[in-house]
Amino acid sequence: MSRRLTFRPKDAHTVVLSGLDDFLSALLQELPEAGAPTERSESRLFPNPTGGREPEADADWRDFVRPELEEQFVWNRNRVADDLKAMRPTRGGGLELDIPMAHLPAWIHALNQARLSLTEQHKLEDGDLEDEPVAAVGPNGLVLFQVRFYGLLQEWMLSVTESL
Amino acid sequence: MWRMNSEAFVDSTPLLECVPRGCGAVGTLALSASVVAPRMADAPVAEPEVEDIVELDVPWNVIVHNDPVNLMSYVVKVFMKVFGFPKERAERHMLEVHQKGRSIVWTGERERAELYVQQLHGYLLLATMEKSL
Repeated sequence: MSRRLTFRPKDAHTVVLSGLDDFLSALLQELPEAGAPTERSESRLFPNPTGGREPEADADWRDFVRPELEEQFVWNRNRVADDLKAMRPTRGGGLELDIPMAHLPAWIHALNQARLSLTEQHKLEDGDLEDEPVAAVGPNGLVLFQVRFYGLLQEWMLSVTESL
Repeated sequence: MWRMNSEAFVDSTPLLECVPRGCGAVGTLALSASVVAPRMADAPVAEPEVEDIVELDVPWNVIVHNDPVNLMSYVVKVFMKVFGFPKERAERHMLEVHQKGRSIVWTGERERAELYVQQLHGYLLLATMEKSL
């Protein structure tokens, strides 16, 4: 039985993501881990501020600014991981998740981390990310589906919040 | 012919005496320099650090580069948040990034440019800074 994935405000302080099947909920549970930097993705997640033109400034950046950014990124992923613990089954089957509106900036950020990290990790290119239908088949198909699923959630969340 | 009276100055040093003729331009130049900045007894003379001044004055550009992952709506919201741009201006920069590959989103002093780049990296935008020359 197919379910319709929906994202809607529940009240003034909460949004609810419902219609999740086991597959989509598994992708969602992977979100915090998917955004963690890897050897391949860290240069994109933490780029040099001068693009290598001023090595000394870039080195200072790595020493003093990057740790702050890392801390911020981890904080956002941890907040999402905590929210995911509240995922629950619904009467009609499937799963749903309440997300506090105040947590949406952390979610938007974590979704972005994951999309960037997966794209670098699997060397996806511009053409791969265009809006054509994609089937979650094969290793690249699965990653593409995951990146687009996270993109869809990010769009939805951006549409209901003004703050980042 | 003219004569400068030393009593007018703090250190009582005669600044210029020009008698009787022939000291025209040089004498005038010496006099005007002394009048503008009268000599203070034993005061150390600070040399201006010209190189530092030049370095501070060089403006820096903050540049945002295109990447295929960041959503357009997200980039617009980041520009509005970080720079306080109105939506139309934020969209214009976003489109420039998308179509031309990069957009200069801010120009000014280095310290502030670094702060902006840090904020943009915090939002995972691909941003760099470079001297605006």
